[in-house]
Amino acid sequence: METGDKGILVYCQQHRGSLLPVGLELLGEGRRLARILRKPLYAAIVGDDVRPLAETIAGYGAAGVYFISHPQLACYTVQAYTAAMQTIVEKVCPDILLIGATTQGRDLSARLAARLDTGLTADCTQLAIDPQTGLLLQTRPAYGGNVEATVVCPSKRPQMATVRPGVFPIPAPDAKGRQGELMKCVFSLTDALDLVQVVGKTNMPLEYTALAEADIIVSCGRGVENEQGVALARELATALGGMVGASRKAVEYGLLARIHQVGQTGQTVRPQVYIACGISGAVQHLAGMHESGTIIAINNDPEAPIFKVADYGICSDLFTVLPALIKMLARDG
Amino acid sequence: MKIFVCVKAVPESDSIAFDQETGHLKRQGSTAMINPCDLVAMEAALRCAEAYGGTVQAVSMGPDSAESALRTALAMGATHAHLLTSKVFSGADVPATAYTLSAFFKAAGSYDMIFCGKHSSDGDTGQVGAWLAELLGIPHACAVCRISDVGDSVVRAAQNIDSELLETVLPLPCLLTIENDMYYPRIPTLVNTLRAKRQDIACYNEESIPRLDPSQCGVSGSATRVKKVFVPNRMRRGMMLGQDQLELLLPILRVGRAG
Repeated sequence: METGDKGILVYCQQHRGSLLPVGLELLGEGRRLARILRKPLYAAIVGDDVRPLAETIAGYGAAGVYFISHPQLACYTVQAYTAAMQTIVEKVCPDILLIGATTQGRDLSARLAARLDTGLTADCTQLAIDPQTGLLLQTRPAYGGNVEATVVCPSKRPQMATVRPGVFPIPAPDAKGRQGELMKCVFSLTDALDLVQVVGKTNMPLEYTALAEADIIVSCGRGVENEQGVALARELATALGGMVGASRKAVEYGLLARIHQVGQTGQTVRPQVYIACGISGAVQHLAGMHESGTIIAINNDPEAPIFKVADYGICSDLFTVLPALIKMLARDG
Repeated sequence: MKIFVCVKAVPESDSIAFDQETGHLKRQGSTAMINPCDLVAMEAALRCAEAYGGTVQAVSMGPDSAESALRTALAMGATHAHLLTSKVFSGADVPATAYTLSAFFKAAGSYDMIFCGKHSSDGDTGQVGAWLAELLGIPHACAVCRISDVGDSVVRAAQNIDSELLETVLPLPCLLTIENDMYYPRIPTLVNTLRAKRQDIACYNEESIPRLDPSQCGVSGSATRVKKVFVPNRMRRGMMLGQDQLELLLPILRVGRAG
């Protein structure tokens, strides 16, 4: 698709009948960009029986909400969802297509962009319009967050980006109660799509998802040394209403299970408070936690790189610091 | 069972430099290693081959130095290594990379499964796998955290998608991108590492891959341009506290206890 000037299209991901917040976040940001470009904003949603969700979305400033309801879309398969979104994109011919950078969004966007033969920028944290060219300026971290790059898609359309959840605020619904027009699209399955089947679904263990969503994480590095150290970290986490994380080294030494690992080959977390206990602060670990609100580092090595990215550093033995913190919190009630 | 694994050579995290003009990574002078996530994909492929019979081959696109990533794959147990290397391929974004790889696979003929790592530690887009599958016209599954069965014509895999575990059955041939925490990659033995140093690596360029259109490779085949690269400041104020000053942290620590 080489041309496209019909504004901005935002994909709104749903999960078992609920909207994911990132779709609404992107409608807010999309509205801002649409005003600058003086072009309309549209939304897209696909799934099984999604009309009620389309009606909700219609109150968030989109001129039109394109939706496809189909039993085959009840569960996510990239093949079927790509075909469904292709149907909508070919109807709208958007200049810009924004998708939340969830696991599904990043997967769907790549297959869809390949099919549409356009460019795609992954996991953006900032969007702007170039005043000279009118192009979408897509800024994203790379190299484990060591650098940021601004990327443009000069000629192919739509300009596609996945955008990290939680970067933009969820907007208020349209103040005057205006509703965008609902546009039902028809979607036909081709044979190839039937070949991929989801035969079962379960929720991931709570421990796994809870780490990414925790407000406070007490994370263990190699310096935690033994079970006693892990027990102290767990006790502090419990006292704080938080979760226990781990560096790769702590996992390799068998101190904690892989499910706790934070970093480049583990999970990426953004808690309000991250307490790094006995973690030296390798670049690979920082990649998974440097966006935390407040970083507190406890390490007995004054040269540990973790202190350079910490808001507060405590350079002493964690086996005395952790009990002191636990005691302090107990006093605090 | 013929399994291919796509691997990428990435710079060691400590030796990153950028061309401020083009925004491209300066690969010269930086030490290359195999992308950590690709080690997990290699491990998953090897275990599949061991459990269900078959061989694993590794393929990479990159400069000459990408050879080191392929040597690691060979040392882990890949039987063959293929390196797509040419000036024509350099400066590629995702579509150009996926196109070049797809031309290789179309020329290579038969394969049952292609495995890719979750993402690269440098570019970190995580998009090449899905893009490649689309260009090859084969199904794919992302975020695979378990492969429970491989039959003659289908594979059964569990996908970890947005805190839901989907049990998916895909027809062969297909492509799987492997979740990071699926396995710990094996450490090659010294003997295998030494053997891998002597093994041949098959090299390909725009002339040796049949029906490859050079205009769809490298910079000319790229849909996106890097306009600017900058280094964000991650340094924080770093106030050092003594053991007797822990009380100062109390207001910050109360956030989790509020609700």
